[in-house]
Order: sequence, then C-alpha cells, then structure tokens
Amino acid sequence: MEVTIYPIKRAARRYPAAFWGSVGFLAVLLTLALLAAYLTPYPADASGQMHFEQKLLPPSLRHLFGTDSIGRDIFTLVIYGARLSLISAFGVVGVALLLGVPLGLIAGYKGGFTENVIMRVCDAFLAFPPLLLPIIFTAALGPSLKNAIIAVAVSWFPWYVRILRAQVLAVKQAPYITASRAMGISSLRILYNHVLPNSFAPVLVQATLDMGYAILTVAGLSFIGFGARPPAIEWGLMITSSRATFLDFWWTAFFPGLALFLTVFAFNLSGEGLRNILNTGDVL
Amino acid sequence: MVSLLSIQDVTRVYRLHGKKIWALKEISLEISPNQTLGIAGESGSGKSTLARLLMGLEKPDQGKILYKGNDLAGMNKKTLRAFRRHLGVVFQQPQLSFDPRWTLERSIEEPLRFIAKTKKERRSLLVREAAAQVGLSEELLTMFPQQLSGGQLQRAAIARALIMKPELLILDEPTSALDISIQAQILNVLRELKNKLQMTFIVISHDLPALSYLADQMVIMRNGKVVESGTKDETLRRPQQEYTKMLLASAL
Amino acid sequence: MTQTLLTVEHLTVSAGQTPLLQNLSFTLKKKETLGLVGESGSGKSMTAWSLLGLLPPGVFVQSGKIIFKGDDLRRFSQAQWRVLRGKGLAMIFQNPQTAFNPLFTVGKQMDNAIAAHFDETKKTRRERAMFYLRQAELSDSGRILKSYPFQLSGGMLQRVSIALALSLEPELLIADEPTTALDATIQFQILNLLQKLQKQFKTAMLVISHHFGVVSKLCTQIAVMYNGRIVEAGLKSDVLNQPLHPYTRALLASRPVNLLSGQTLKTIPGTPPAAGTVTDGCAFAPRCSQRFELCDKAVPPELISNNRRVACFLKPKYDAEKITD
Repeated sequence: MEVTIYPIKRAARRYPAAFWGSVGFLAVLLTLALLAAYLTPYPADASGQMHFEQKLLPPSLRHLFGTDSIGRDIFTLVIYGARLSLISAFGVVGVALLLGVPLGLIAGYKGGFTENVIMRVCDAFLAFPPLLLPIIFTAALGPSLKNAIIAVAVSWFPWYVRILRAQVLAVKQAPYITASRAMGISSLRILYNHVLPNSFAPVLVQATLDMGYAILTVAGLSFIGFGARPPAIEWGLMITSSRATFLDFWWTAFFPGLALFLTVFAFNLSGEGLRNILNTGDVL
Repeated sequence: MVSLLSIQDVTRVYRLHGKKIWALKEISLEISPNQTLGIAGESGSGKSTLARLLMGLEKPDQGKILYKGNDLAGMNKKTLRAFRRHLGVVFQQPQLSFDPRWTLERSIEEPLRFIAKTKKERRSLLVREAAAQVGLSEELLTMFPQQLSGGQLQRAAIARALIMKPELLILDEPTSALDISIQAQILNVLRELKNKLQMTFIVISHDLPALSYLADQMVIMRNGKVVESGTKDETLRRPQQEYTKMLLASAL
Repeated sequence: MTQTLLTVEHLTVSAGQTPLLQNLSFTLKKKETLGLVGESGSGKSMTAWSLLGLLPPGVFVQSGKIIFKGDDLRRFSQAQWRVLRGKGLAMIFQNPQTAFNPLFTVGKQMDNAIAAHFDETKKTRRERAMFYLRQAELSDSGRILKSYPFQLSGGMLQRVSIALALSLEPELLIADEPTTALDATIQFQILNLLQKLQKQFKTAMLVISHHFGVVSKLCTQIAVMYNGRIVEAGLKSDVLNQPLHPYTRALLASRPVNLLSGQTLKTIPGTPPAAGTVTDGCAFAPRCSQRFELCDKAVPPELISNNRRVACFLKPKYDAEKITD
C-alpha cells in the first residue's frame, strides 16, 4: 500500500540512530542469514566439519569469534544460527497470528456465546506458566525445532486474540461500521475491509515486540533440549553445547549469547518505533 | 396512500446489568412516501433505537415494522439486502462516519462497488455527480477524513447515502455536532435535496427549530412512546400535549 | 458606582508562534454578565482558560494584561492561583460527568473545595454544601452528598457543579458551555437556575457558548468572537437587534429559529478558520458578502463608542471614537 511507505521514510529521517540500529541491524542479519554460504569464512563448518586440531581457539583474525570444542569457526556458526533463530521468530509469530487474528476478529465482532467460548479457551491457555505449555507440547510431539516453534506459537496465540478482540470491540461501535451494515455490505466483507485494518495496529506492534521473545523462548527450549537438536545450528543450542567449556573458554558461550541479545534488542526497538509511528495517527 | 413504512405496536427492550430497559413501548407510526418526517425527542426518548429498527439493524421484541407491506423481521438475507438498496443513512458524528483509512471517494462508492457491482468508470461518474449534488468539491474526494472539516464530511455522508438513489433517507442528528454556521449550510443542502428528489426523509433531532425547517410531518417522542404527532404546523404551532409545549418553550 | 472586577487588556495568547487569542480586550464590572459567542476556533474557551491560569502546556500569554481586582494575573505564583481559583474566580464546565472525579462522592469533592478556601469545621462545611445544594434546587441534599457522579443525571450533576462553584462565594463565575451537553428541557431549567442564582448572589458571570439563545438568556452584554478576536460587543439588545458586524449578522441569520415558512436560511459560505490562523487582513473577509479591497489588506481596528464595539471597515452609522489597535 502506497500509504505505508511515507511513515517509514519519515521515521528513518527523524530517528536515524534508533531506526538504523533496529531495522538496519535486522536487515543486515537477514542478508547474512540468507547468504550465509557466501559471506562466512568457513561455510563447511556449518555442515558438520570437525577440526579437532583447531578446537577451542580464542578469537583472532583468522577466527573472529574463536572456535568451539570441535574446532568449528564460531563466527560462521553464529551467522548460520541466525537462520534458525529468524525462522523461529517469524515462525512463532506467524503461526500465532494465523491462529489468533481470526479468532480475535470473530470473538470481538460476533460476541455472545461464540465470544465466550473463545475467550474461555484463551483464558485456559494463558493460565499456564509461560514455558510450561511449550515444554508439554514438545515433550508430547517430540523435540525438534519445528515442534518447538509450533508449541510456542500455540501457547502464545491467546494474547493476540485478546488484543485484537479489544480493538474490535472499540472499532465495531464506530458509525462507519454501522453505515456499511446499513448499506447491506456482508459481515465478512466488513470484517476484512474495515474491522481488520483498523484493529490490526496494536497486534502488529505486539507481534514485532514478540519476535525477540520468540527467539528467546525457542532458544530456551533448545537450551533445555526440547527444541533444536544437534546437528542443527541454533544459538540456544550453541549456548547449551558450550556448558562444559565456557568457564575456561568464554567465547564459546559469549558470542552466540551476544547475537541473541542484539537480535532481540533490535526487534524490541523496532516494535517501539512502530508503536511511536502508529501513535502519531498516520495511516499505516 | 400506501405507507412506505408501517410501524405497528413495536416494543424494544434492552437488558442491562440484569435490569430491563424499555427503549420503545408499543409505538405505532405510518410513514408515507415522499414526505419528510421529523422525529423529535430528548435522550432516552427512544428515537435512536427507532432509527436502528428502521435500518433493519435490530428487530423489535414485539410488534412489526413493514416496508411496503413486508415485515422487516421476516425478511431473508436476499430481501433484506434489496431493502437496504433503497435505504440511505447519515449519522451524527461526521468524523466517525468514515473509515479513517479510506479516501472519501472510496467510502462514497462503497455501496456501488460491493452491492451494485458497478464498473469503475461509471462509479467515478456517479460519485462526482453525488458530490456535486451536495456541494462537495471534487478535489476533496482524494482526501482522508482527518484532513476534512465536519461540514465537508457531513456533505460526503449525505452523498454516500444518496449514491444508490434510495427511496428512504434516515438522518440521525445530522447537524448536532456541527458549528452553527455549518449547521445552516447542511440544513440548506438537505432542504434543497428534499425539494428536488422524490424521497422520504426521516430526520431525528432534538433541535426543534432545525426540524421545523425541514419536516412536513412531526412526531414527538418521550420515554419510548409517541407523545404527539401531526403535520409540522399542527404540532409546532398548536401543540396539544404538555410535553410538546414544554419542549417548544425550551427551544432557545 | 460598581467597580471593575476584571480587565483584560490587549491579551495575546499563543501556542509557540501561532496566536490563539489576538489583542483581546474587555472589562467586567461587579455583578455584570457578559456572554462570549463564537464557533470552533474562535478562542472563546481559550479566553476562559487564560483567566484561570490553566492554559495547556505549550500555550502561554504572549502579551497583554489580565487584571483581576487590581492584581495582574500574569505574575501570579502557583500559591496565589490556589487562593484565587474557586474563591475569586470559579468555573463550571460543559460536561458535568467529566468535571467530577468518578472515584469520590460529590460530597467529598465539595468538601475538598470548601475546605481549601474556608477555615470551617467539618459540620459547618457540610452545612454550607447543603445550603448551596438547596439553592440549586436539589432538595435531597443529604443523599446527593453521598452519591457518586455516575449515580446522578446530567442535569442534577450540573446543579451540583453550580452549587459547588457558588458555595465558594466567588466574585466571578465562568460558565463554559454550561448546557450544551444537556437535553433541551433540562437545559432550560439549568439556564433558569443560573439566571436566578446570579441575581440572588450578585455574582459577575462570564458565559461562553456557541448558542446565542444561551447567552441572551443569561447575559446583559454580548461579545462575538472570531479567529481569536472580539469582532463585536455591546448590550444584548443592541447586538441581537442591530448587529453591526457582517459576521454577527450572518450568524444570527443562520439560525432556523423564528423563520417564516418558505424562507431559506442565509448561510455563510466556507468554514470558520482553524484556531491560530493568521491573516493579513480581516479574518472574516473571505466569507464576507460585503468585503472590499481594504478588508484583505489590514486588520480592522476596533471602533468604540459607549460600550458598543465593532471591528469592521464598514462605517458604522454613528460617531465612533477610534482606539489604537
């Protein structure tokens, strides 16, 4: 939509540091992740090459982030790890939105018994401690990154239902909705044309902020063995693998941790920035 | 003369916090075609509820509303949609009457696009005709609601209500949220339309002088009942009921 | 001779560079009533806020004076304002439901206000509150004091507002659109009440409204505002029956009241200027049916004679004394 470009351009101009720090960082990360094979010094390491003679070397010019316990270049692994982390982020948030948005729309717009049923189911999901539900799901489905992503998404979508429903309740009172109904426009079309676009903003902000948490949660699951499993390369997994070594060889945990931190931070900044843009009332 | 709308012993109750609120109590009213009916009342009179029932957005709990002899409550989706083609509505708050994410043109052509399924070029033509009819300048059509004043938006709302060439136009407090000089402009637009077009207008307002300027027939409502009705002259110049007299005396 | 209570002299209030009030001057004597009439963007509410020192952040008095009983309000400290607000100047607002804190009973809120200005015992304060509630025609004053705002209707709550304001025995009461949010019949009652109480307690009153009817009922003098300036002022009967300014005339003609059948409303083309619009010439010129060249070039100065004022280049029909702008 043409109207979307102007606020973003304006934001880039007004808050350069925050904008480039967050969106810029993420863009770079995405590029690195996609073109990892061409941009990393030792792409072979990512596919399980072992160089025991190079193991646990400290950071140097040859190995920017040092090497791990089986001699793989950590810099390469961190870049490759970005792939799975970004997949986790988009995967979790994407699936949660896919589940949460339609349910939130229906709950808010239809109201009555349907709304009650949907909201009580959400209440049930939200009653669980944050990590417990994903652990239960992955334990049931079998640990893998894919299952971890689905598990986290399924535990999270109720938040989006709530946020969207709250917005829909406010929007559906507006006279322009009544006007469309009085014209005879079908409910489905009203939901799609009017209600959803006008309710989506808070969900979008929350989703962007959640990207960071998604990565952390999946990394956390991987850390305790319920998510990605070797030989997959994922930041959480890298940290857990370094448990034995990081006390003496700090770089084995530090750099994956740093990557995790910076990425989550960048997503958070983007989310805040998005919220600020939307609060100025510009059409997005 | 066959009534366009026949409201027969209509009752509407709302349940709020376990209590029953009688918004309309056995109201009966006949609305003829090609006349302008003014419905006056204060808050709690039930006038807005009546408007919603006439738009077919809610069903009466008792009684019937007949449109050209057909019960609105009994209509299936298809017939209801056909009814809505003959209906135009204008609301009180011009800023909230339009989707803030749509240009004025897109909002005005909405029924043409999705109900009448008119083609693009013809839509553009019809929108411009409607805009001219209400004195809305063409350059405003590409703008968004936030960029426009209350008067301009209310003109656009009237244009949108008229675009399908309806038989019935319902206006719920069309001028209450506007500045005085703008109210006068909109009242003149409505009067001109009323004289030019073959339509039934139902104007709901608490502003008696404004109603007097537009209406042929008047209905005074209070606490969900019709207190008095008749021609404009009868009601406003020779009021029978105490409440009507009080309402008239309160008009500054 | 009644002494002057309030003098506003060449008051200009701006938000940054945009002037919201331009060169505003008027006086109010004790027991006098003045109505400010205008549409949105005219600056009428901003005038009230200036008098109470409650301008929103970013808005400030750029030049001019506000003198209340000899004190220049521009130089008031927060402590001085706390003493003056309520006691010297009191205000009632448009929407009574939002003028009260929903979390406390109206009795508590009245008591807070009274306690801030009167050194009385709790019993005396309560008696004071109940007395004024009764004056506001709320006979069940005990029950009202125990009620929360949401338990009272709009009309009743506005009566409480009036009672609260008057219980502080202010010398000037400012009413900002006091009845706009109320139904027609309630509006009538509240206006009657205000009229009665103003006479009874001899309070000076400044009424702000977009409705000539309201101002005409409550005030002996009317000032018409447009784009942050007073364009016409005078005694009610003069302004309403013999308006001099084209805007006043047009505004009076655009009301459907007293219209004979068949007559069309004469409308003013265009829209009122947004607050803070700056023009080279007269702000009303673009919409004026009688404009001529000079109107676009310079802001018309005010012509004053015997309390009758108008800012227009069209020559008034009587001798006028020119005053510097």
